[in-house]
Amino acid sequence: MMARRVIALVLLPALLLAGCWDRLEINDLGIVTLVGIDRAEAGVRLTVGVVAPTSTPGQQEKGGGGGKGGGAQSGRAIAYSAEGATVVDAMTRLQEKVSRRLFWAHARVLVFGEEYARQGLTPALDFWTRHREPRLLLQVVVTPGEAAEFVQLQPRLERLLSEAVRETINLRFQTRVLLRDLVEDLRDSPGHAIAPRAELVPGQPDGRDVSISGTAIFRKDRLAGWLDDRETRGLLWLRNEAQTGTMTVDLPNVGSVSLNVIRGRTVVKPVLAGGRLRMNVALTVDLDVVESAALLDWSKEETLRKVEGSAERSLRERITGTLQKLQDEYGVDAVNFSEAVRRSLPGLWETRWKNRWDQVFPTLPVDLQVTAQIRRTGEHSAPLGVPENQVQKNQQKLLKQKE
Amino acid sequence: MVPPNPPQLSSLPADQAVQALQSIPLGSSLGENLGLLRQVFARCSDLVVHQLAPGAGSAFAVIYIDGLIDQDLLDRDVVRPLLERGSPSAPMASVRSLTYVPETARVRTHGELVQRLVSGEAILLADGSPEGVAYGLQGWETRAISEPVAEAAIRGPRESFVETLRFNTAMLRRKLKSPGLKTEALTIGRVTRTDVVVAYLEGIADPGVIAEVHKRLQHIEIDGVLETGYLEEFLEDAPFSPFPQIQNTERPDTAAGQLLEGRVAILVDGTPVALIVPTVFAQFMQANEDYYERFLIASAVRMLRYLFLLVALLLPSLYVAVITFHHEMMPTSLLLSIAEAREGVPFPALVEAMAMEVTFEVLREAGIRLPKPVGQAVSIVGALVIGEAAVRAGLVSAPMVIVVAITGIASFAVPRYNAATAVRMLRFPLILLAGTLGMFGIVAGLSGILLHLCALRSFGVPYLSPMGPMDWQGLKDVLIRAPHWAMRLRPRLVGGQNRVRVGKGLAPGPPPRSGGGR
Repeated sequence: MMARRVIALVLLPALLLAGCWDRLEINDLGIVTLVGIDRAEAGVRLTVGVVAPTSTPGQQEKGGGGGKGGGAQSGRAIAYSAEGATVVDAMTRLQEKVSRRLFWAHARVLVFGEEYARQGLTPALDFWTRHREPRLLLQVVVTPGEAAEFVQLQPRLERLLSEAVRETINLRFQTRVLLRDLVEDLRDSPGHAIAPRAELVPGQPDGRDVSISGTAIFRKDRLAGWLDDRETRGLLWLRNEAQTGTMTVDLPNVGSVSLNVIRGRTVVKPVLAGGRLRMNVALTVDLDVVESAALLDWSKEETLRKVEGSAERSLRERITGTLQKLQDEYGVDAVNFSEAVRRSLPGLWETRWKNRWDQVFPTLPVDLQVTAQIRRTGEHSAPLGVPENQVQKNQQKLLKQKE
Repeated sequence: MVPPNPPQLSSLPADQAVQALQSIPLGSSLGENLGLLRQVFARCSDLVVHQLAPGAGSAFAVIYIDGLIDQDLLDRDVVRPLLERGSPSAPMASVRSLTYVPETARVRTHGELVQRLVSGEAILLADGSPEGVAYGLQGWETRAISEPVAEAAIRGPRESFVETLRFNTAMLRRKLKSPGLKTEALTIGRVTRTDVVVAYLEGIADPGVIAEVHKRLQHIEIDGVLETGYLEEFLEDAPFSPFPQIQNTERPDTAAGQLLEGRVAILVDGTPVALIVPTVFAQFMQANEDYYERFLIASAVRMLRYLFLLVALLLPSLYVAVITFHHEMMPTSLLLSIAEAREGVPFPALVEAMAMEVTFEVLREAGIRLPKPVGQAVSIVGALVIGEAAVRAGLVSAPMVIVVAITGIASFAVPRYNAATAVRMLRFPLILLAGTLGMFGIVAGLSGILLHLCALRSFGVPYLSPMGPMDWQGLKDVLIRAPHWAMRLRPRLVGGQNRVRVGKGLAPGPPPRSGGGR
C-alpha cells in the first residue's frame, strides 16, 4: 500500500510534464480571418488578414481611412503576404514576417484571385482540408483581379473584411459556397463547381467597398467564366437556393411593381421520354407586394392575376437566360441537374450519362413551369394620395394587356 | 472510612479525580463531607455551600454551583420548607417528602455528588445521613429561540435550534408528536461531559444505521465536545474526502423533514447545529424552502441550482482551457473580444485565474470574520480594487473578472454552505489541470471527482443515491421536486423500512361536476 502510494506520488508530476506543450496564450495568436490566394512566379502567393487587437480598451478607432497597406489600425485586420511553391511553403515564409503564431481556425473567407482560379484550384485546396486548424466552413469567393489587393481592403461598416464578406453572403441574395461544398462539387462527377464573385467597387467618398455579385463558373477546378447578378438569380432559382430576394416586374404602360420573395421552391425532375432525357423544372414562388409604382387597385383579384402572370414571365425569362448561358456558352452544369438525375435514375446515370454528362448537358431539353402567387399586398390596397380615377385608368390599361 | 489524601487528589487531572471520588461513599458527618467537597472544588469561586440549621442539633447544607440553579425555585421549594418544618432528628426520607421538587435523586458517593453538582443540580446534605438528595433545579440564562442565520428562508418556520439541548429536542417533539420519535441520550467528553441525543423515528429509520450511529458515538473518546463538528469528524466514512458526508442544519423543520425520510439526527448540547446521517449528495442541493414553495417553482429553482453548481465548479477552468488551448472552440467574434481584452495582460491565463480566484476567496473569508461595519469597507475596497483598478491598470482582463464574479455568485446558489465550500475548493485543482492539460485535464479531473463520489458512502448509503444505484422514486426529489402527493415513497436506501409516506391517488383536481346545476 505504502509502495503504491510512493509510486503514485512519483508518477503524478509526470502528468504535469506532459501538459502545456500546446499551451498558447491568446495574446500570442495572430488570428487569421481572411486568406487570399494568387498566382505567383514561385507557385502561390498567400495574402492573409491578421487581426490587430487593441492594446487597451477604449483606444479603438483613432484616425480613419482604410485603404492599402492596412496600417496598424487597432482592432482591424492587417494584411501580410508571401510567396511559395506550395501553400504551406508560402505560409512558412509568411510566419517569418509575423510576430505572432498564425492561427487558422478562425479564418472565415478564402479568396481566390482570378488568375489562380483560371489555372485550377486543386493544388491550393488540399492544405485547407488536410490541416487540422482551418474549418471546412470557410466561405469561398473568387475575385476578378488580385486576391492580394482584395484582402487589403478595410471595410467601412464592419471591422473585419472577413465579416463583411461573410455577412453579405449570408444574406443569401447571391450564391453561398463553403469549402465543404466546393470540394464535394469537385469530387462528384461531373466535377464542376461554382463560387460567389466578390469584387471591389468604388465607394464613397474615396474608399472602396466590397460587393458580392455574380458567380464564378468552374469547369472542373478551372474558372470558366462568370454569371452576372441577374443570371445568378436565375441560377439560384434553378438550384433551389433562392430563399429571399426582391423582383421588380415591369408592366408596360402602367408602371413597375416590386415584389418580395417570401419563399420559393424548385423541384427538378428528370423524365425519360422516348429514351431521351428531359428535365422538368417546376418553380413555385410566394410573393409579397412591397412597392407599387404602378397605381393599381390591389383589392381586385384580376390585378393579382395579371401581376402574377407578369412575374411568372419575368422569372421564366430570367431562368431561361441563365440556362442558355450555361448550356450554350460554358457547357457547365452549374445547376446540378446531374445530381437530380443521379438520384432519380441511378442505374441509367451510372451506365449512360455519368461519363459523358458534359456532352449531354448542353443539349438537354428543359421544361420550365413557373407558378407565382401573391400572398400579401401590403398595408393598403389602393395607393394612398392618388385620385381614384387615375387608379381606375391604370386598372383599365392593365386589364387590356394581353398575356 | 478514610478520606483520601487531599494533595494526591488535587494533583490528579480533573476527569481522573472524579473517577477516584466515585468509589468514596458519603460519610455521615456533614462536616467531613463538606470538607472533602471543598478540597475537590478548591479555587472554584462559583461553588455555593448554604448551611442551614433549622433547629438545635440539626444541620443541613444546600450545595450548588452559582448560576446553574433556578434560585427562586430553590428558595421556595427546598430551603423554606426545610427552615420552617425541618426537625432536628428528621431522617433523610422525611426530608425528601418535605420539599416540593419532583425531580430528585439519592446521592450516595462523592463522585456522584460532584457529577450532579457540575451538571447544575442542587444537593441537599444532612448531618448524620450518609446519603444526599439531588434536586434537578437547573436554570440558567439561555439564548431565546431566534431566526436561523445560515439557512434563511422566505417561506417556512422562523425558528432555529438553540444552544440548549432540551429546547432542541422539544422543538423536534413539537413537530413530530409521536412516541415513535426516540431521543436516546449519551454523554461524550471526559471533561465537558456533553449531552448528546440521537433522535430518530422508530419504524422508519434503518435500525442498522441507528446501531452504526451508536457504535461510532460510543467509540469516541475525547476530552471535550464543543460543537457537532467535533463529532462529525469521528463519524464520517471518508475523513479525507472534500465532500461533507454529514449534513448539518440549524433548522428544526429541516431536521424533522429528514427524520421523516428515515434519517437520524444527532443533537449536541451547547450548539444550535444538528447533524443528520446518512447524507447523500442530493441533499446538498435541497433547500428546505423547496418543500414549502409550489413544486413547479421549486423544481425550476432546483434545476437552476444544479446548473450553477456546474458553473461554480467548471467555469474558470473551462475559460482557462479554452483561451490557452482550444481557441478554435470559441466563436470568432468572442475570441476577438477576449483577445482584445487580454492584449497587454502580463500574466498567462492560468496565473490570472488563480490569482483572481484566490483574491475572491480571501475577500469572502475576510468578510465573514470582520465586524459588520468594517466588513462593508472591505467589500467596497475589494470590489473597487479588483473590479476596476486591476482592469484599468491592465493587470487583469475584464472577461476574467466577469468569470470570477459569476463563479463566486454561482457557488452561493448551493444551499448548503459546507457543500458550496467543497465545490469552491475543488475548482482550484481543476483550474490547474485546465491550465496545464486543457480540456483533457478538466475531463480527467471531473472523472476523478465522479469516481470519488461514486465510491463515497455515508453510513453505508451510496453518496450518489438515488442516482448512483438508481431509485426512480428517489429521483423525484433530485433534479426536480415532485409534488408532495406524487412523492409517495421514502428514499429506498434511507427509509426502506417503511416506505409509504403519502396515500395513493391524492392528486387534487377540480370537483366533479354535479349533474344538472351549473
